[in-house]
Amino acid sequence: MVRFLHTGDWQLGMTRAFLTDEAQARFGAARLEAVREIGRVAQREGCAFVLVCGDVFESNHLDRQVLLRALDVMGGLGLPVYLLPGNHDPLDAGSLFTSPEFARARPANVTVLDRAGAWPVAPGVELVTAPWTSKRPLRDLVAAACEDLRADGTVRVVAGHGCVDVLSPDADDPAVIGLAPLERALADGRVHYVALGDRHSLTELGAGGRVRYAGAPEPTDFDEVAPGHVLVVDVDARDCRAEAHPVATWRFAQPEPFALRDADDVSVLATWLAEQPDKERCAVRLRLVGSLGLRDMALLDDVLDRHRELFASLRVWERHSDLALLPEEDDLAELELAGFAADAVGDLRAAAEGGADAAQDALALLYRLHRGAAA
Amino acid sequence: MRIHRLRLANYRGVAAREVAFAERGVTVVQGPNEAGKSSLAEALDLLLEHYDDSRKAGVRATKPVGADVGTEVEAELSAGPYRFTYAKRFHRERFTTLTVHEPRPEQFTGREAHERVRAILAETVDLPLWRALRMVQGQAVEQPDLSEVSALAAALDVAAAGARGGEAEHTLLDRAQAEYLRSFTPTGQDNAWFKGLRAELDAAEAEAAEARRALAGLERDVEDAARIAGELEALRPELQRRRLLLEDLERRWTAVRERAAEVERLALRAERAEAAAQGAAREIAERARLTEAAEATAAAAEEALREQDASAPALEAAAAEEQRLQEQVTGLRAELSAARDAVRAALDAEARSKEAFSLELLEERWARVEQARAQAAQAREVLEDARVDEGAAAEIERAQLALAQAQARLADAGPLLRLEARQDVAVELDGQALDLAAGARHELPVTEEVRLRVGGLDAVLSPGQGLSALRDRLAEAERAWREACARAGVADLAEARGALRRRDDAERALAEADRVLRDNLRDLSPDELHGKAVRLRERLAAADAGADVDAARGAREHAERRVGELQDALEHAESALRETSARRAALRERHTGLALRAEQALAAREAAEAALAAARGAAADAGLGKRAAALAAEAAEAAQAAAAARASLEGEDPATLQAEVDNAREAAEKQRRELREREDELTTLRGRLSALGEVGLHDRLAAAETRLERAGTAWRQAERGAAAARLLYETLLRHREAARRAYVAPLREKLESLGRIVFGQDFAVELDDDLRVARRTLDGTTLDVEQLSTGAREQLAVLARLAVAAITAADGGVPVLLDDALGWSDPQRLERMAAAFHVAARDSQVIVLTCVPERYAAIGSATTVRL
Repeated sequence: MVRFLHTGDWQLGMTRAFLTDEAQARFGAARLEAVREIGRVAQREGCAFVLVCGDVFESNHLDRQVLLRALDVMGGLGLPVYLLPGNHDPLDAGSLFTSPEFARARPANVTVLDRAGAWPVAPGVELVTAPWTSKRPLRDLVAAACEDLRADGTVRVVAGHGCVDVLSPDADDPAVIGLAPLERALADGRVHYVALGDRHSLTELGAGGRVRYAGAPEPTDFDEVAPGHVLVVDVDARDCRAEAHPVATWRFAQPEPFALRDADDVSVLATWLAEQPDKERCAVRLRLVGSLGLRDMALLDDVLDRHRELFASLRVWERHSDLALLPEEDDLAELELAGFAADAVGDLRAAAEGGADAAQDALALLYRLHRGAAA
Repeated sequence: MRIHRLRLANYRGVAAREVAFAERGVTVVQGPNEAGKSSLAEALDLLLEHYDDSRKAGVRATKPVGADVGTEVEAELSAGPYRFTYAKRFHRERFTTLTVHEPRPEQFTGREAHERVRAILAETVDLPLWRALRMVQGQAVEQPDLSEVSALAAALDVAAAGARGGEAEHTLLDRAQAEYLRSFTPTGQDNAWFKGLRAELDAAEAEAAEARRALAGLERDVEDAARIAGELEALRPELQRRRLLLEDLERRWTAVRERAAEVERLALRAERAEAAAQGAAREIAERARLTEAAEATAAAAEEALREQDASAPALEAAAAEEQRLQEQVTGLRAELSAARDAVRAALDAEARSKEAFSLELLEERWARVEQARAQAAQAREVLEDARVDEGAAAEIERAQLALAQAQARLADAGPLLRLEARQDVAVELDGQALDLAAGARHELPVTEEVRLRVGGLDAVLSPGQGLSALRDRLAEAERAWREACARAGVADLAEARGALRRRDDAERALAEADRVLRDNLRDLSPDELHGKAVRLRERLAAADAGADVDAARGAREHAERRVGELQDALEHAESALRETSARRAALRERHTGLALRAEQALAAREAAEAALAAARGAAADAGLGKRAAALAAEAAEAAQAAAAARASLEGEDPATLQAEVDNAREAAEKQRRELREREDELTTLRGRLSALGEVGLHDRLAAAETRLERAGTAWRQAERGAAAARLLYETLLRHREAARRAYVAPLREKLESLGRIVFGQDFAVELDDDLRVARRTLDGTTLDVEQLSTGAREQLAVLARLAVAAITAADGGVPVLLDDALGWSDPQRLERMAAAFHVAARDSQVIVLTCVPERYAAIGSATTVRL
């Protein structure tokens, strides 16, 4: 029985355009901190080594500062760390892993799995690796790595990166990892655990829980499912257990769409926002649908403006939102406008009800300006 | 506000005055200058605006000169729900009292009264309107300033159903404009800020594209490196294979080259042996040729000597013949020369005999010429004297005939004197003695006076006057006849005829002489002919007289024939000589040639014999044959050995093999070079990738995309905001403009309805933002107000005030106060203005102060107050 920590997709050096510079800096720091946390978990759980299944780095062409800091942190983890080149950091001619900086700064406990095949990591335990050597492999690298294995009593952990065929949206991609052959290999006892990277969501595949994605240790996007974990795996020929441990400090939150019709709906949204913990480490993407009157729209703007400063990022996902401004009689009466201004409002309202965005915006602006006048 | 009553006391020059005004309609206050009309208007302001203890200049100026009394002003006014009496005394014993009658009685004094009135007015009266509707002297043509008048605005708003909006609406418009100006310039262009956002977006896009391009370049390098590495892996074993192949080929090539060298050596030996054998054979042949040559040259020398001897006799004969012919030619030439001299002499003689004959002819011609010339001279003399020609003769004949006819007529007409002598008698008739024989008769026609003397008797017979005409005619005819004769130089017709005949004879003789001259002179003049004959004679006189012509010709012909014969002979002889000379030259040449040949043949014989002797001295004829046989055998043996060696190389093509070796070497070299190039390329790529790896292209792209995202968001928000601001501002502006038009309409309509009374049906005005008349249209002509006459402007100014008053009247309004207006209007206009006043003042109070009451006399409804 060997115990090790399965992780991947650290994506060090990743930036998110919707984050401000300040938030981006914290986001980057948090991802590095997550690596330290991985080390702490591994130590605590008594893992033999840390296996990082690809995409350690966001790109081969990163600023060297990112590389050097990452290596420094990895050097401090206190146990062997195995890095598998993935699709973001393949082992090609421009690879970070072969750069002079990497060679100079590589700590003794860090090993790059830079060839396909078996790597003995402990007595009777082997890693079977399928590193990426280019951005577009033309075959199933994992299947190739497993080709010549025989069940000989060695406990084998396959380290692979990429999409498995059962999840792939692109059936014609020659690089997808076939799940069925892996399951056969598992059944035959040729391999005993398949540690995968590439998918940022924590995922278990197939029967027996021996094929898994650990997911990203810090979230990177809104559509990820249960990111922010690592797996502590115990495996031998008879048994396999994998336990997820949370390591993330950031959240990417995308709640269900909010249907907004009146002030009450706006206050539901306001409450949801207020209830979010650790707002400064949380990026929110909202989907808003429905229609609001002038006053309620102004209310919504206020709510969003107020929270925007609190969250690392708070955005309305325009592409998936459909929120119209439809002024109501009450709104207009509240304006107490007379004369030509009232006529102008009438015009704009008619246009707004006809669906003209500019007219809706113009009415909202009028509402804001006029309220400013009244205040 | 209404002014009901106004009372003044001790106000400047006015001791006491009280005027009551009609509550509605026009009150005309009339009085002469300085009657205190203007003081009325002024006094109300004084009352309403100043404290009773005011020290202001305007207040002090109201004090009557030279009287130490207080100035009093009292007014009864109503405003809104209030009606009150308000009085002040200034300067001395000052006081202020206010008695409010309605809505409930109140009493105030002093400052309290003043403040209360101010409060009432502020509450109920639009003071700017009150000021606007006054027209004081000197500014009569100004239009009222209505821009601050809220009562009018309120009234117009009511008329326009509130379309104009209030302060809130205008504030909104200002803010919308401010919002609009955040993105746009006042002229509607994108402003710098807005453009800056767009520029930032463009710049960010460009930067991101550049970063993407750089990264894509890097990715390409990575792929290239992978591809080259793959190619290198294929190239290396290929190079190894080529090198082995090359070594193999080179070994084979070395072996073949060694054998080829052996073949070449054997071939060379065979060649040399063959050459030696051939040399020996050639020597034998040469010996035979030498022997043969010696014999042949001997025979030739003998033959040559013989031929030379044979050619000598013919040469000598030819020389003798040539000598003979030469002499013959010389003789013939001498003879020919003599014969030619003879011909020349004969020719001379012949010429002289011909000249003698021509001299004879010339002299004969000359004699005939001489004779003809004499004959001609004689004829010319006759012709020169002859004055009678055919015409003159005919004239004389006619004159003579006329004379005879005249005589006959006279004789027939006159008496006839007939003398009949009975005896011999001598009488004198006209002085002429006439002897008459007896019995003789003498008749004489008496054509003129005839005197017949017989003895002592003179009988005078006169023909009488009846004949004088005939006599005159006779005289005339006679005179004509005499003149004709005189002209011709003859006495009468017979003489004339003789002269004519002689003339004809002379002309004929002259013509004959001319013909003879022409025939004999031909083309010569007489002198030339004569000179020619003289010269010829002189020449002939110098020479011998020749034989006759025929003899001379015979001698010449004979001499010529002789020359011909001699020439023929000479030609013949010369031809023969030439022939013989040629033949002799040929013979001599041949003889010389034969001598030379003999000499050469002798030399050749000697040389051949010497050569043969020398050859035989070197090798005897018998030794030659043996050596030749030995050498031939050796050559055959060497040739055989060479052929055997060549046969062993058969099947190996050294040329092809060499080409193969060269090709294999080049291919291997090329492969090596290619490999090296690829390695270099890969090294370069790796170097570049390593360098680019340092740059952090991914981070650069990430930064650029972040910038792009932010710039895009900022731009989209700004664009959306700008569109909203533009729409809002433009919509507001459009409606305000429409509202303003609606708002101005009632005032314009009122003014136009009043204006039509004054100016006529086709009257229209345009009002500006400040509610002033900007343009007036009349009879289809639109003019700016400034372009109108003073009178028209004043009328418009008055009408504007009346119109405003009418519009504001419903809300209480204020009085219209006109101080001496309409000074510029003509009587007709005044009439119409009066009608307008009547209409406008139905609901409002109009007070007119004037010193010219006639101006307002036409206002039927006016109340008149006289001061």
